[in-house]
Amino acid sequence: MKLLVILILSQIYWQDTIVVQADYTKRFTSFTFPYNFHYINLDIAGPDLNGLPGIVPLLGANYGTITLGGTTPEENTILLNGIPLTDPQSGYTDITLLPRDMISGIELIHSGSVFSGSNGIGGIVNLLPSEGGRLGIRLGKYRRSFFLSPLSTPKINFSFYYEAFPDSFSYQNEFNKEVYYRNTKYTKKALYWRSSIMIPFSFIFLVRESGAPGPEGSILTASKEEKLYGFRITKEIGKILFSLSGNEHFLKYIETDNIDTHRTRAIYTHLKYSWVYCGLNLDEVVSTKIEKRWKYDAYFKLEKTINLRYLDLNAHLRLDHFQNFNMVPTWSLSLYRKFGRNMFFFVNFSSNFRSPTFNELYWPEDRFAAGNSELKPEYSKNIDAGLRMLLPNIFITLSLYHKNIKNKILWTSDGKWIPKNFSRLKTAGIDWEISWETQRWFSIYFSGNLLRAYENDKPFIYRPNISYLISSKILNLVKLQVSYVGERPARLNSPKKLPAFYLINMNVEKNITFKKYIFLIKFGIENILDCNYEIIRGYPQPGREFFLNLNIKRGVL
Amino acid sequence: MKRFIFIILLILFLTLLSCTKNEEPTAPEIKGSRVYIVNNLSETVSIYDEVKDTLFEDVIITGVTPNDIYQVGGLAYIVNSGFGGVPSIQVIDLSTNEIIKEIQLPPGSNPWAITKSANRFFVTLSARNMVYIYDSNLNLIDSIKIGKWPEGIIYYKNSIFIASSGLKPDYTYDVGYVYVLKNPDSIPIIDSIPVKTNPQDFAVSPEGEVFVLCTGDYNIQDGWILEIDPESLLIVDSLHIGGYPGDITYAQQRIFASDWFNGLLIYDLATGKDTIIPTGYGSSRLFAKDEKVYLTIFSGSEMNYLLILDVLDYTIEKKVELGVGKGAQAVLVYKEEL
Repeated sequence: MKLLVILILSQIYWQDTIVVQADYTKRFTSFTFPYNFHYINLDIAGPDLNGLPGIVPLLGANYGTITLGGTTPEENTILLNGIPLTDPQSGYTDITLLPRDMISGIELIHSGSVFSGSNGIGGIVNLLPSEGGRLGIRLGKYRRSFFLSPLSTPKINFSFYYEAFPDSFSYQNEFNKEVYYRNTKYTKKALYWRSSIMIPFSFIFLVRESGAPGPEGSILTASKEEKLYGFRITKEIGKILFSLSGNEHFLKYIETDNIDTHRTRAIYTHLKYSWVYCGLNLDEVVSTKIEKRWKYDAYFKLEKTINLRYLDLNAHLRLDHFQNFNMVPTWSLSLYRKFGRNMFFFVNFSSNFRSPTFNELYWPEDRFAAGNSELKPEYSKNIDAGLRMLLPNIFITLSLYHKNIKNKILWTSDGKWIPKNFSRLKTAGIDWEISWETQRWFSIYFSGNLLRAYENDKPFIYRPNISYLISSKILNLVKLQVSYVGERPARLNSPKKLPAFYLINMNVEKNITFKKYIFLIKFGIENILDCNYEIIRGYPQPGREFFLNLNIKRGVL
Repeated sequence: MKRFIFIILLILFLTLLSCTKNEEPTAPEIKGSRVYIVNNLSETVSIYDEVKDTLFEDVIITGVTPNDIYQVGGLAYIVNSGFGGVPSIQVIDLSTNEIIKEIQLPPGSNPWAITKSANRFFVTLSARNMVYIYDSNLNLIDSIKIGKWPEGIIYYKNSIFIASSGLKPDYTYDVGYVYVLKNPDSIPIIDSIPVKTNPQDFAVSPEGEVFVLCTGDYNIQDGWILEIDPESLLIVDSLHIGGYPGDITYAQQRIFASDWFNGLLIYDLATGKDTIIPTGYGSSRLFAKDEKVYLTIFSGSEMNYLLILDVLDYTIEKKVELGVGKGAQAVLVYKEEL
């Protein structure tokens, strides 16, 4: 049976990551994974991140992230092959820091506090690095990029990435006038190193110099210099599994008359013996805004799987001790069953939380904002359920989720922007993936998300009721992606909406083998309709872009 | 295979179900006396029907960050500052409560307020240090460089008064000025008067007095009200009121100033007596009509209010709930003849 390209399956064997090693050959492993889990192959799904199951992208200009199930960014943990990327000062992971060529897939799991501790209400997202290509060049109207992997084997990978974007692009504003959005430039350089020899580890180093444009109409002219180091080491000694991971962020934010610097460090350690887990997480920040501060989170967890007669049961019980909030218990309970060889059902109940970030607690009072040291952690009760079917050439997954978040922290404008535990956020949704490969010459992937997100009984900002993606490949030659994002609130407590939009991407690609190398030549157009759209209000996204791509890798077709 | 097809159909059905079009707000028919409240955060206008004691929430969707509303006859003009979008002026037909026209203003110009002389509109563009001049159909005629970060603007006795706040990019303040455009309907003559820190708005009395509210710098300099003689352009009186008042209006020989933290400050010009009405945090914008003063209470996270006060005995006649997190700001009272 021909392999379906929709699934990378994997193993979960650590606390702070969903998946460490992607493996196309073990799809049944995650087929029976008893959580709300998806793997998204970005080669199929395309670069826009719209219409992917469970995912709401929130993209500005040189700043953006993805969230799960309508939650806010701080309620999610984002990793790169197990390396934590989240900045503990803001609780935010700026995924635009990563070159696009670097990421080939996304794994996600909803409701992940029993794995990640804080920042698990939405869930955990693990970005999977591209591996396998030797050299890639892209020339586009806007984005130009390059990557080189002098070492690329199953046991070791060493890759360098470069990407650049121009200083402005034009778009049509709501009065149909062509205007320029400026200060959008960036250059990104990245190094990724993974090894599974002796002690498995992965390491990342990212540098970005970029503009930091305010929203459309803003008079702000700022720029940023950023560096991110991240690592992850795992080791198995007898029956004990050990993991150490961490990151260091450096951000220099330069305005006309003002420079702010923020440096954060995070270290996460985990031990596992049989069904007992424990660990210690440390976060530190040194900032011109909130000075020097640190916090810890020590945890202890039990996990047990019981095989019952008609259902199997997986349970987690976790206790986190935070510096500021004493003991926080979280738990999850999954009931699941496999029906025959082809169908799998699960339902998962869980409690989740997130602790306030350094910025939310300690931002000094200035003209515009002030932190709030009285904040309490957010808590949520989540329910996830799903059905997966695997038939010859067809894969279907259908999931439901419901998140009820109390003590929701939001920055609100009461003369100044102040974070408060004032609201309740309820989200509920259905997401799906269907992949169908009818013949060798045709495949189709259809994913989407129906979402209801309500903050204090009002529709929550930027969360579309519907988004979906249809991606098709014809004759291994033409790839077409159509994504749709429905209307979504443009303001809190308001009927004002951002308009729905369609994006269409298309490319023609051809593989040529020459000696021991495969040359993949790709010509395409992103945003064929030249659609003017915004994900976050005031941050227009680029229009139509022609590009030419050349990738070289070792092997034979 | 049948199960597969069933699931596909189910998903498609659910997809279609969710595609039901969201209903746009419909403008209700409101006659008689009513209050238009501009919600800065939710970017809408709510209308309070004084006759029926009913609030119609979010009746009009404004442009981006609406800051001012101004009435001329049966039309109202909303100034949208455009932070996060395109600045604009929207024209509302007050008989139908529908937007009948919208013009774009320069991106990033942060328009603040609007007024009208006999035949022309004047709009302060704070971030451009300019005033744009439009004819009565909102066709651009001219622009004039004015001071530093101009905000409030008012027409009185054939002169346009402009409050140049002196705001600098580092959020400190230069000396505040009031600029005066005499003869605004032909070739304006510009004059200026130095005033206290951060002049923001004006009130005029039927007796020929122009009052300018100087908010202060939110730090060392606090609030003043200065009286300007519109003929000689001299400061003829001053009143140190303290705090950081944000808006001013005049009614029945009294000056009313809203202070975000302290509430509503009232100064009786006849008796020299001052009074503070504590209204809670967030006292925002004022409007005086007949023997009432209308005050909005702004909040980004909690309930917003419209307070209606009796001008003479200062009692709060009505407290109207405007909704949570609306950011209620500019207010306008329109009394339609029935």
